[in-house]
Amino acid sequence: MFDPFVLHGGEFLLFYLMLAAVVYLGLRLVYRVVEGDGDLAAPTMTDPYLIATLRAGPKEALRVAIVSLTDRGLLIPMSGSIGSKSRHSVKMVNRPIEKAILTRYIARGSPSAIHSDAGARAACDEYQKTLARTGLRADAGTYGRRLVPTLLALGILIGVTVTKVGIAFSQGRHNVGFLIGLTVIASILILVAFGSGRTARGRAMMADLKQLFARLKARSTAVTPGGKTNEAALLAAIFGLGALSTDAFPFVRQIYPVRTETSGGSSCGSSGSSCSSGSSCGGGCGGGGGCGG
Amino acid sequence: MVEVTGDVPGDVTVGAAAHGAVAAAADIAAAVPADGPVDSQRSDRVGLGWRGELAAGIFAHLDHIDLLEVIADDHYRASPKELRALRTLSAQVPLTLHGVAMGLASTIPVTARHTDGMARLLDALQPQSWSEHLAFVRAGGIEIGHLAAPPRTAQSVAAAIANVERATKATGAAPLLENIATLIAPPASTLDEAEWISQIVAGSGAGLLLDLHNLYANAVNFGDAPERLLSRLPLHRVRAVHLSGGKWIPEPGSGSNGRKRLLDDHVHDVPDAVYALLASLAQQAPQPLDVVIERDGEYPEFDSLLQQLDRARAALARGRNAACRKPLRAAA
Repeated sequence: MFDPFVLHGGEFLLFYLMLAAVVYLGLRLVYRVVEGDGDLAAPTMTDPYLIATLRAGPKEALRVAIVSLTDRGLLIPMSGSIGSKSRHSVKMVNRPIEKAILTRYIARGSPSAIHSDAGARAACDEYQKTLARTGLRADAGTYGRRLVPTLLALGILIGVTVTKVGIAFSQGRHNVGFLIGLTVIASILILVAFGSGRTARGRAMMADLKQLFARLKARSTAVTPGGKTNEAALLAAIFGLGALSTDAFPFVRQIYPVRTETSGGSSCGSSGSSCSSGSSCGGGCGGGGGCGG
Repeated sequence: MVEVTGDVPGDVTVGAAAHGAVAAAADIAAAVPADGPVDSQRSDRVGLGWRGELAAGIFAHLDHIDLLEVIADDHYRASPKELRALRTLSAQVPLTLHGVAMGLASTIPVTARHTDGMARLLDALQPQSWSEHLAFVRAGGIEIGHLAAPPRTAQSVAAAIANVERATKATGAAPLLENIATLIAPPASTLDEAEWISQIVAGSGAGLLLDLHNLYANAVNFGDAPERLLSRLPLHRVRAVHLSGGKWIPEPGSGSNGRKRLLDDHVHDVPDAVYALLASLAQQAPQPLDVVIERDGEYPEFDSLLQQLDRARAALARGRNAACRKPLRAAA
């Protein structure tokens, strides 16, 4: 019978690498089974802010909403800040997230100021609840279902490492740094997968939307500004703000200069850059494979 | 969509690839005799052909779109990932499938590649119905790449009926049959278009997908009155309607004599005359209709498509209202 603990050095590290890959992929498979289609009715995915929340979290929904409102002329960008066109603008929109944004920017402020606005957070919370209710974003129940297989996966990897380190030490060898490093990396990947805000079902939904909108993305330069329809908002919600043509939507660069320059062409769209900015993705981009599902 | 009750016609055996579709077959209007009972609770529906380029506009206006028609041929070899995406689409809005390259009105039997592909899609998507053209698309092993009108003869009627039966057996549900446009009167024809379509529909038991722009184009191209051509078709078998636009081009082979033909190109707006035909159809055909506007390129602002959907609804309403007034006048 194969005994991996008789392997030494690079051979054992190779074995451990393969074991970690199998455990990680197995864990994702388990997540997919327990979070798969289920009996929950899919929500109507027509609200760009709901889609943006699913893709990259509530802050992304706020960014898409700000761009959409600017496209419709209800927000005016000016030298690093934005402001509502008028106090009456808020009456011209229906969605709570848009009302919250327009209310907040009656007094001009930076684009990121909305993230600390209570009204905007409340509107975003509704999207989060809708996504959780329909099994697209993780809630307490999801994390509960993930817990046992996650602990099992960690137990296997850490258990093998501890056993091997014990054997190595008993034989007077102390070159275990790479093994411990691999264990830490694998454990982090597993914990990121555990903490992912999107469920397997949510990742599948995002992948489906990207598939359905692929041809529109290919002709995204034909999506015109002016906000007559939600086309631009939907494109940005699904692929990120980077999917909007900078020629047609120059104000996007004005409002979010870094994002537009860094995110174009990436399959993650702007979520890549929003992840890099710190907190907005939650676990949405986690696991190194979360973007795009 | 017409909600009809009843069983799959008795002479239909179901292919192994389509067992899943069998459950839906009873809901598929075309799978049952078109004269069957009609659910009066169902109403007319108006929708669009699904085109990826229009995805955002469609998703943003699903409250204005009652159904979508998906081109089946684009997905015959769809990956599981693509099929799942289509299922997600069907969860948002009712779907119908539309084939373009089966070649039902051909003396050549329909190929298993097409019928199996359609059966797989019916299985995967459980659409409301599926449809195909009364055209031939290949001959001598060569794909024409075009919907061609066969000679309208008793032989082509029999061949089309046989192909509809083959397709029905392979997929588990009968197609709705669509009339096509042609720039050239099919040579060697012994039947006119209305007679030819009527005989195929009667012989196959299938429903009719009436493309009103095709009908209009054929009528004006060959000197018939569109209304007259419409009234000669088996309107009680119409389950679905296509609307589209076209443009005038020089008549093929006419040289410089200035004669024109109306080409059905799907890249122009639906003309007024076609809306008038829709109103007339709605007046004469009491059953609920699924109306789909087809647009294949030169996409306008989505607002323009929404306006065309509204015009289609208005035409249906005009026709329905006229149908209601007519009996009242007769009673008075």
